[in-house]
Amino acid sequence: MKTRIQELRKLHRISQEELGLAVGVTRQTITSLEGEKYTASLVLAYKIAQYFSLSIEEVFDFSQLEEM
Amino acid sequence: MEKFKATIQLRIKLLAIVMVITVLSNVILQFMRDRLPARPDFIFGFQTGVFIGLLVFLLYIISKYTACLKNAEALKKLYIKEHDEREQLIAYKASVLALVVLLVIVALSTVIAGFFNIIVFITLLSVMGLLLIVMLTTLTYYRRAL
Repeated sequence: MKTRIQELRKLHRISQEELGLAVGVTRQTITSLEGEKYTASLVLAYKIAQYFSLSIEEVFDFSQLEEM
Repeated sequence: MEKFKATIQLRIKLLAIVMVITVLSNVILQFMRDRLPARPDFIFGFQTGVFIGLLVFLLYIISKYTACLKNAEALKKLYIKEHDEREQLIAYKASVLALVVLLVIVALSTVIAGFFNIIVFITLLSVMGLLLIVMLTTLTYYRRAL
């Protein structure tokens, strides 16, 4: 899933490690999210969005989700 | 984090108990050596290796946990590492795949062993049966729990 995490992280000048520590995941998970290899759970998506004071939709791109 | 700290302290105690049991059982087995059937050298070497390996592993884990208890940042990193959702998904996917691969290997080995040795055949059949029972039990448990 496409996300704006990398963009927002650079905007706030924080490292993957720092963001990971703030939201309770490892640096590797942030790397996977930014590389679109892993899709965050609802709870993690909420925590990341909260960290940047945005809504989940503003951080995660749901437009390319496959139709059922 | 206090709850996790208590969990780590409990783990240290349990690991220490396992370590004591390991050492005691080895000492008892050494004293009973004359009463037990003679072992070939490679079996003795294997048993000694497992014993030493287990002790080193337990000491490493205990020292790692003890160090984490003294350092709040290390404790938080350990908590994150253990609760990281991607790590949990990786462990889940790897476990399921490993179980299926193991079942296939044991099933094939059982069929092949049937041509050569009845004891090996029955042993492998028992292992396969046990694996299936454990798998079905855990599946049933989680279907009800989740």
